[in-house]
Amino acid sequence: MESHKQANAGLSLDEVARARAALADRLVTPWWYHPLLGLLVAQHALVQGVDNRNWTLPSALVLLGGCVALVMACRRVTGLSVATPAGARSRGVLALRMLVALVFIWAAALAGDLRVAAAAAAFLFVATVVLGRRYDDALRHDLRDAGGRPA
Amino acid sequence: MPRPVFDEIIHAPHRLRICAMLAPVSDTEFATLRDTLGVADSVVSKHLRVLQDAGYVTLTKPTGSGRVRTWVSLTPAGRKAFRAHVLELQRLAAAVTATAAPTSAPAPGTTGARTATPGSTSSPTPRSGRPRTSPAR
Repeated sequence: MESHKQANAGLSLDEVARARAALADRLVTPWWYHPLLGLLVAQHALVQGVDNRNWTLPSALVLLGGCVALVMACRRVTGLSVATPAGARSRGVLALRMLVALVFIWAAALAGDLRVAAAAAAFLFVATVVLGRRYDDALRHDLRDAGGRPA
Repeated sequence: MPRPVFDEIIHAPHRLRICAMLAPVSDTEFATLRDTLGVADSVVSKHLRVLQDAGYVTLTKPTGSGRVRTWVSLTPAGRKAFRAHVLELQRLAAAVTATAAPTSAPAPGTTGARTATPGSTSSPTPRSGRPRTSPAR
């Protein structure tokens, strides 16, 4: 019995790896996802440069609500939802993405100047799109790496 | 990290693939599972029923937004069982590799042959009674 299991173990692990690879191939974020997310993040950075601080809370709510709506829409289109990174690579890119967003929003808030905030917003839009696509690649890579034969 | 445990329910090829697809995601639509597996609805349903009866997956059908879709997700128990099963498969595959490798190692009894670790389950003593050599790792 044990020898039968041993003989099949490698084949079963290959099945797991193939299933993960097929899942990774299906995990294609719609083209509009990252630009829309970039706009949501950018508007929050831009609001930091406006004199009237009453805009900060509505902007944060737009950011949160928009993120939830985007994730739900993406889930409907792809038929998958991935809440957490699948490995070290995707975890690293996600952390970098969050750090960049926080630093630039914080910098815009500290400066309190509309031009600085506009520059931060423009940078954040580009960074969100670029790092978002990097995250997708890293996630697919991590999914293909996980669960195969032992190294 | 869970203890390696062979799970007969998960081990069936289609169920293994279903669990492998569900493990890294929060949930997956039934149609996505079916298309990726390349099998009929009835086949996916049958295997999901087995996994559901074992408490390894949950099926939800949110209503109120047009076409009703079925979403499948692994339960915490299912996630743990799948992880333990993969660990066991990896242990078995490593044991196969370890037993296949000594063909290139020095013959038992010659200089350089190493004895198996006492109590090791992956390197049992062969029928000849001689200690089995294990490759350097």
